[in-house]
Amino acid sequence: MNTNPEKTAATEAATHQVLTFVLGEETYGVDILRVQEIRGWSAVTKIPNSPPHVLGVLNLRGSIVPIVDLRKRFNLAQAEYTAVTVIIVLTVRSEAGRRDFGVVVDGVSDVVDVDAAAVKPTPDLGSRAATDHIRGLVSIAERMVVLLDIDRLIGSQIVEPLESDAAAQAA
Amino acid sequence: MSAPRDRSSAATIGPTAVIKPDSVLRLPAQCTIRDAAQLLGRLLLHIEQSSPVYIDAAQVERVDTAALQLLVAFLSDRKSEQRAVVWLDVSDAMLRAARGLGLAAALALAPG
Amino acid sequence: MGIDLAQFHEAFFEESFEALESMEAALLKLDIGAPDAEVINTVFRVAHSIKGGAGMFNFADIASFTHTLETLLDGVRAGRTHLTTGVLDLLLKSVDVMRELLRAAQGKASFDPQRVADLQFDLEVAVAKNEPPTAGAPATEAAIEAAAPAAAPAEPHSPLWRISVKPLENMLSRGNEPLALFAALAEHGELRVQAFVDEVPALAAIDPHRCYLRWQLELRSGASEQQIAEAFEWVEGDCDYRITRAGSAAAPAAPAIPAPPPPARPAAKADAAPGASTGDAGSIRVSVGKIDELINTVGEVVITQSMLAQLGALVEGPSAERLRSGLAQLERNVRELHESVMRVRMLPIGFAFSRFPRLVRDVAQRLGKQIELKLTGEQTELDKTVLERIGDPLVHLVRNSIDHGIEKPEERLEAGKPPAGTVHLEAFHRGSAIIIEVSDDGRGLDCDKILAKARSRGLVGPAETPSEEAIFELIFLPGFSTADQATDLSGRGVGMDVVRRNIKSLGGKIDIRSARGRGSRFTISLPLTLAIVDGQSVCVGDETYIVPLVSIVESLQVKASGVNRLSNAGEVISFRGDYLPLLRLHELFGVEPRSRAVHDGLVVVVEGDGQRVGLFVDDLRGQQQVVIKSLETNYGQVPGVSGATILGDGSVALILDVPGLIRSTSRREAA
Repeated sequence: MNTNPEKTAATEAATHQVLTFVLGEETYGVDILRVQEIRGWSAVTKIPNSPPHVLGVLNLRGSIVPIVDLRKRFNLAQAEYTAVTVIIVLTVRSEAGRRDFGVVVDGVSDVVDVDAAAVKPTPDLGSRAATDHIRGLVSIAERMVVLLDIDRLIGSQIVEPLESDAAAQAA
Repeated sequence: MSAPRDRSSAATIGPTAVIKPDSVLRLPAQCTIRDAAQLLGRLLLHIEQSSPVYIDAAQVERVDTAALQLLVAFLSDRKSEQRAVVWLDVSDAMLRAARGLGLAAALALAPG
Repeated sequence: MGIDLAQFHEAFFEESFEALESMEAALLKLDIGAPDAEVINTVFRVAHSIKGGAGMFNFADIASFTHTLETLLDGVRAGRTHLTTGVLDLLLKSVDVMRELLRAAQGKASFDPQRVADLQFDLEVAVAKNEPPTAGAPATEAAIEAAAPAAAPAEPHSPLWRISVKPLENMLSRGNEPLALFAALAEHGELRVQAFVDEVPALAAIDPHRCYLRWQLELRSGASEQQIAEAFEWVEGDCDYRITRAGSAAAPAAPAIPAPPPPARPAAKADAAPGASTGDAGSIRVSVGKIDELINTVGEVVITQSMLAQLGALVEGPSAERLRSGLAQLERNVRELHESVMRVRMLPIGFAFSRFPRLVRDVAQRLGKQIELKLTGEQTELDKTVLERIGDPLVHLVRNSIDHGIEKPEERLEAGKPPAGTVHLEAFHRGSAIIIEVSDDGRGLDCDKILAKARSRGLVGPAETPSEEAIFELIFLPGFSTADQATDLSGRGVGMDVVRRNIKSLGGKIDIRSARGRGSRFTISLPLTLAIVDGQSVCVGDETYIVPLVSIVESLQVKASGVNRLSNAGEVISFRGDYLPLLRLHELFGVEPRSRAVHDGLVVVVEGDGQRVGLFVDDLRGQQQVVIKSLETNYGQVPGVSGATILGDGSVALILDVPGLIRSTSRREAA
């Protein structure tokens, strides 16, 4: 029943499993229980006039699923899509209901157990919008892993870019 | 956009190199009661694995109740330990059998 | 002008009080030991119709309370909640509270909010108490899934057989495969398979050769019990089974399928309404979810069929011709299958018409007019979703006819007409569309008045002199009718623009014909089904788009000289003596075309909203039926696109929203 992301985060078990993936120089993590499927890259159908980070849509066993390019979403340099490019299909829950979407990442690295106590809060970078989708930071094997809150990253606004993007575009 | 445009690559390509090979459980073409004991052994090897188990069922051509029953038990055990099982690719034969036995939901193969 | 909202309130109150009386009477009749299903249904319908009315008139307290009550009643109806003296007491108290709430809403009395809240709480407790424990072991939750494709088409009226199958320990090891057994059963009709996995032990404790699963099957088949039992001959001794014929539709053993709520209408009239014969032995009640599941599956079949057709066209050799004729047969069968399945969702429009006699009588009385209501074609069937969403636009149109169209008796006599005006609601099929007409023999639309009003609102410039047709169109503009009609039924100032928008959202259109002094006719045209369209594939660069065939006028090649550039109005092409705006799909959608030169590609002339434009595309591909998939489920609305579909090769193609594209050009031109 409870769809409040803050509450679910707070009531989670002391450790949970996180799927980590690489984007450029950085490693990100998402809750493994939100991962629906991992699949290879295949050509997408473009959506007219979509925000730049939405690459298009794919047919995922009969339903139409939007594919988001996290590099564009995080304003990282572009990479080529190749046969080893990976799409992670994730599920978000929002007031609007359940939505599935895929994110394009450079590669999936591993699944790690994350101790809730080891998660550091995100440093204040001045703009709330820039860090709102980050649940925290955790150090794994001396690498910093950025834990994403995918409900906030995508939530009900796949179509509308987040504030930071809008600002970046306006600038 | 730099996306490759080749429509022929539209099908899912199998497990990717970035997933560690030892965490992928590749089901053989024949998954039947004849080899059920062997399948059980392989599943047991993965049951305690803390990282997700990726099941690649793309090659499955024939699967029967005995094999699916083992997978039901495997998924249910993993689920009760909060450990993930991720389907990488599933053949039509596998889907047909799971649906025909009313097991698609129990196997997390139900659409949507 | 305009009418008083209160008169509709009054009708609602009157109806609700009547309905409460019948609810109370029904409750008092109820036998705790053996509650009559029909009486419970009556009570449920009352609650449902009051809820609907309260929602429509924004009586939030009543709507919220009746919603809780309805939930409890639904539980009683489905057998989840037992009808105890306590529950009956709650229901009777609810009648009293609803009376209080209604009187308070009428402004005739006040109500005790605490008492209402307490009772609502008690109702909620009663609902919760009898809900089955949903938090139980997830392993016991088994899904009902469609079995292997049924070989024999089951007559919709075939009996339903329930078969429980419990394999003995050694069934599997003796080579008896349940899949084969189910496939044999599916040959008799439509089979649904529900597996129970609760006895499957932990992996470490499992015997891989033993069967721990059990099944509950539902077979809809005209076969005899003996024929069905034959399928079990092979497994005799390896498996326990029991075949029972499910009783009538209301069999108490039926799994708790939430019944679709009956259409909102006053219970008092329930028996008179068309299609209300709930005891009809030849029908069963099926949840809408199951039907939609079926429709989805048929949609997948359509996709597979079109994939096969594509492949079939490529095959060569001695058998190619036979393959193609087989595929053509398949296409016909699939089309028929789709049509029959969609027909399951169809309901007679009488459900939407049934509220009008009362409404017309009441409004006419209030306004001092004499009106005869004629209803024709009540048996015309249309999709359930369309039916639910067409009600409000129709109410609006009928109300308009009475209010603005029909004159007072004296005025009519002076004009040489009978004193009683006629409002005619008519439904019929035309081609693959449903036509609903609302006509009256009143004074007709007053062009001068409409034009004056449009000028005063700045919708038409002082120098413009639009045609009569264009003037009629003005009443659909947002901002035309709202200011004057704050007295609208819903109280939110809904105007004709909303009526048109609602109809458009269903893929339909509305046209007006009117003659001064003789009357008006509003014609609504709606698609028969929503899920599949006949489409023309077009390509632009690497992308494929689907243009619905209904909106295509013609496709043609245009010479470079055939394109004219008008100053700041974009490009136009000449077509049958008209100049049509040329829309370059590649520009609109931001894709790289094969060529920007018009003579290299094709122009598809499309029509929507009575306007035509030329769509410039690279090339045409085949025509095919496509299944409409929503883009909004996971993504959102896309301007110019009505949905998506999956092509034979598994890729996704977008379906163009032609009226939307045309609107976007007129905006561009206006800008």
